[in-house]
Amino acid sequence: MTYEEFETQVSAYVEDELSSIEKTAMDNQAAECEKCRALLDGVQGLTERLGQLPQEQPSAEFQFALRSHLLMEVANEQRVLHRVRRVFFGSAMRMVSTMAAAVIFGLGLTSMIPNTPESPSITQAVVKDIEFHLVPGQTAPNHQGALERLSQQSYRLNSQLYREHSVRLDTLQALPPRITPWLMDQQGVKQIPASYSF
Amino acid sequence: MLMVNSKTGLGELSDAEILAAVTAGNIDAYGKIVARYRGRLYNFVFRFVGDRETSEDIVQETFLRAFRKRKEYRAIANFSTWLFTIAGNLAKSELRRRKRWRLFSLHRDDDSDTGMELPDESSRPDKVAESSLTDDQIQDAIASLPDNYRQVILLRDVEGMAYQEIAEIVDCPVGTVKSRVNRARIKLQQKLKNEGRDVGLEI
Repeated sequence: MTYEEFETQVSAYVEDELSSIEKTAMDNQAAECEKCRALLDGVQGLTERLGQLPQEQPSAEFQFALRSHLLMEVANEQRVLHRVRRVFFGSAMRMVSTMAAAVIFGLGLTSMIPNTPESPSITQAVVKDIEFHLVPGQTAPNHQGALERLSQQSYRLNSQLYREHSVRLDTLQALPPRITPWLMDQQGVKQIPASYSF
Repeated sequence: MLMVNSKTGLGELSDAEILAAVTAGNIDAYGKIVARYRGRLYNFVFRFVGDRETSEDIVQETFLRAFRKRKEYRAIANFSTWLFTIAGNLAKSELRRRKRWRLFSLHRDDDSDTGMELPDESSRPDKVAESSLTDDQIQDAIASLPDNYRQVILLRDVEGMAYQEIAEIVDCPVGTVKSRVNRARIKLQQKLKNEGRDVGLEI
């Protein structure tokens, strides 16, 4: 074993990490080589001496300073947390307000758009209803009475008109047929359409 | 009270349980963590950077960083490993900063050509004349080691950590850590021996 080889294993020898064979080889080398023995003694003594160095302690001010810094650290963390919360909840509220405004605006816009064929307007529905009532034979039973009354009123009005002009009509009918239309026109008498009679 | 509070009943709890309590909102529990590790951390950092005021700043920053990142702790196996990793990185950053400043100062001295030379602390007569090695001499010898060697020898021989834990702290394989510790011990021993002190025989 050379000095260099002894040197590389001196700490392992001191810490008793070598096998028995390696340890014997080291012992033999230390016995033969004075330089090796001096190195071994020196490292052994140094290791023990380093372990005996006094434990240095920080000053009393260290405790106070560290405590103050830790308290400041906690205060800073709480301040940052508060700021984050404020920013987050502020933005959330702004988002909710924006969404509400968007919904209201959208509803207003929808009411302004004309109805599609799938959703007929009120006017169209009324027209359809009128058409339904005007078609003979499709009158709903609950509307029959009203139509009958309307029909009767119309008949009475028609009869009254007919009676008012019947005298003149009788007179005119006695005249020659060529003159009758002209006189009727001059008198303001009009022919009652056949459809008026029921 | 934020620091050590005996009434919190956290004395028997593990680091993970205390951290869980802190994360859940019991900030006072962090005082227990501080009380548990401030001595070891300070000792390690002081031996690393060699300055009390800077060491206190680094340990304070270590605890503050761990507090800020407490919610990420679950991903880390050992809380003490995490603390020593933070402290070690901060200490190495401080040493790098000092080296840059020293380089800058030396350049300035060269430029100004004042003829002033930095005294060699290791060869001061008052130190050499001492018959036995003091803690300060050992501290000076440790400070002369490269950063990587200094960190591992402090964690191993001063803090008494396992190689596996040191490997996690320095983010290196265990074999590399063992090799570095061995090299650091040999260098330190030679450094002290060169000063005429064979620690193995005198201590």
